[in-house]
Amino acid sequence: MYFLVGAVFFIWLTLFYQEKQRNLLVNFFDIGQGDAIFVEAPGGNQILIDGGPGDRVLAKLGEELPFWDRSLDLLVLTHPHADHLDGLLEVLKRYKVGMVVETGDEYDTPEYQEWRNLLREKNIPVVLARFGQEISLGGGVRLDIFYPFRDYQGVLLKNPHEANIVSRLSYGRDSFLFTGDGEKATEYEMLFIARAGTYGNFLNLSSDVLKVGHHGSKTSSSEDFARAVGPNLAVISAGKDNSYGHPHQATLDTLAKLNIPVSRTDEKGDIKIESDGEKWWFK
Amino acid sequence: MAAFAAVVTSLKRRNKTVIIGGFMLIMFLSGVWRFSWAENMAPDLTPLFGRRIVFQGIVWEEPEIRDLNQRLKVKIYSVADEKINSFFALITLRRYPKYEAGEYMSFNGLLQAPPPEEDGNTYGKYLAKDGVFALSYFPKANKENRKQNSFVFYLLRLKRGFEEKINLAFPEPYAVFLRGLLLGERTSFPAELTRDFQKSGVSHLVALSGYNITIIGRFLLIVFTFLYIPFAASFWLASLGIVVFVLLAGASPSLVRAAVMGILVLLARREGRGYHITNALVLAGAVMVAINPLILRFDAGFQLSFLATAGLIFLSPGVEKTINNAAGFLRKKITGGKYSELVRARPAAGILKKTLVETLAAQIAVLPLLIFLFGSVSLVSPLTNVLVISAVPYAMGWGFVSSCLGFLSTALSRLAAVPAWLIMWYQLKVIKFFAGFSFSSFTFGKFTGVLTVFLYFAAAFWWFWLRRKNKEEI
Repeated sequence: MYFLVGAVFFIWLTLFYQEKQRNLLVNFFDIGQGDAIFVEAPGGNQILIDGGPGDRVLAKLGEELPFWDRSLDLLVLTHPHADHLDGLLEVLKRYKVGMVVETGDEYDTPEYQEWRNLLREKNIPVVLARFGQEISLGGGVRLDIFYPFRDYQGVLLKNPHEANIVSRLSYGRDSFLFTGDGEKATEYEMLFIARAGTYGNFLNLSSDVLKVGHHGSKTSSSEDFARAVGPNLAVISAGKDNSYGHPHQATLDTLAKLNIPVSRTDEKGDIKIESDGEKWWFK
Repeated sequence: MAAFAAVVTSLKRRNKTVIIGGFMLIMFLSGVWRFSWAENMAPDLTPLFGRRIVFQGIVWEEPEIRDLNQRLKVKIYSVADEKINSFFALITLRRYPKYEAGEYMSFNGLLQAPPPEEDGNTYGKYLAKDGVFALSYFPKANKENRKQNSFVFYLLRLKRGFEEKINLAFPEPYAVFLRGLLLGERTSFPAELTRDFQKSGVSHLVALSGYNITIIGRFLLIVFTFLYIPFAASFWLASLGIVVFVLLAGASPSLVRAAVMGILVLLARREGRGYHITNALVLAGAVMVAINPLILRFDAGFQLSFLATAGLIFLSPGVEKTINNAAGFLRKKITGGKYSELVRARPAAGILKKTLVETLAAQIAVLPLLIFLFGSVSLVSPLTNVLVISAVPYAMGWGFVSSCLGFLSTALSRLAAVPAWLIMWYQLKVIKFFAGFSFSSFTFGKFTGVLTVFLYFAAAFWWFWLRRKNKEEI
């Protein structure tokens, strides 16, 4: 008897869950000093861009996904620094991952070694990110890769930020620019190509929401770039009282000068945004 | 000498009080001696500290995985390729790669002394109670790719395998909650959750105290009774169940202590709350302290489980009486005394009442200690505890079974995990809800240690005085 009631409840719960998801959801997880961004497309495809430090991303995913959903369609690792990579290791262990997008450069840490091992062990398809790639997430949502411009596979970089993945998520009229830890050099390279117009409309930097590069550090967010993106909202993913002093005052000044409103995970916790392709709102 | 004199004079006078008094004094002095002996047992490691050295050791316990690093308790047996009298060091390393209990490792780095005791900083003593006398932060670490294979290490590896099955069966934060319930693992608890647990007064659930083990034991008792197994046999089976559980969870000293307390409570239930159980509790406590005196002062887990057990045994009857009186009074008020005979408690209400009684008894007993340890006390704790604890055995039982199924098939364990998840979902919701009120926890200034000890002595004397008075009346 109880079992039956439980089963019926369960089925309805599933149905309601399937029903409700008609919008694009972007959630900038508050996972401390690092990045972890969850995206769910209207068709149900779920992606995670970076995993933050530690394991906090797991509890966030547990909240975001229903109990029975233990799979993610796509993981993006923007670059192999610990504050972007570490959380993804446990994600790989506990969730079934459909595909991984990364740059594939060399990086000498035990964590990155573990990442390589897990990818091999679980036989997960890996796509090396390159400018010009378009990933269709279904329901009219797409993720365009804007950076890196060249192949970094097997290259040992002094500064892994050089190969950092920048991508733009778009749904109808709304768009999000995910910059990872991209520095000013990366920003100017993209600006240069965008202004040259070589690739037509593909490299369109203009976006509604900008994930501010490198947790608001002064190594990123040049004024030219911020102006070119011209967002209605800048999201800064940084930890409370972090030892780096992120976000830097210079970055905050730049954004203030351009009248761009700022939301910070260290102040607001998770920053959850929904979009129906016409307009976006906080959830 | 004083003690000896006291005994001699007392023998002459044949005064019982003085004999007992003198005996207590002797015990007290030998206790002080044992404590200071243990305190000064630390090996002299100063020649090793403060310079770069190569040292080898065996990972002695399951690595403690923290948010950004891991801590290894390592038994160091060789320094600079020379065998030494082994000692324990607590070594902090990056989170990866992972290491296993029983693994041989070599390190290259700095060993340092635990911080000295000053301004109430008892971290050094806290470590000493676990036999740790040296620290090392991020030395170069290498696996030697060989393992010591003893029974304990085998158990620890089994525990780790079990943990992984829990992680696969449940998403977070349910996995960490279940790991806390079943294995007492608390280090990987998210900060938010820890705060909620403290505010609503249920932290003890994930501390694997004697209390938790009592819950397991009682649950087993109920199941066995349900299967028409005679009570005497059920008691032994339940105790056996606890032992198996302790082995599965890694059999650390604190866990063994908790299990002893848990079995004592079962015993109290069997014997009725008689005189023997008091002796058993005191004896168990005394033996544990004699083996490792430092736990008396520096192991909050031991203090909490001892006091909670004492509360369950000594305070439950009084609390039950008070609640019955209050309920009777209310019933009279509501029904005007007319139907009081007709309104009978139903079995479900009986279980709820029992949980309430036990929760209150344990809470009262640990209250001064909690204020001493944390400086705050949860006002909603009785309510949250009754609502949450009544579901704990089911969460533990289902959680345990469904995670074990993971050894066969992950899909199967996830399917079986659904009821456990629903139960834990309810529990976490309750905990979060009650932690949300601004008045849910009340902050005192911290009690000083002396005041805390005084309160407990006063309570004990009061209790004995009451008992004597009752006896005289009879």
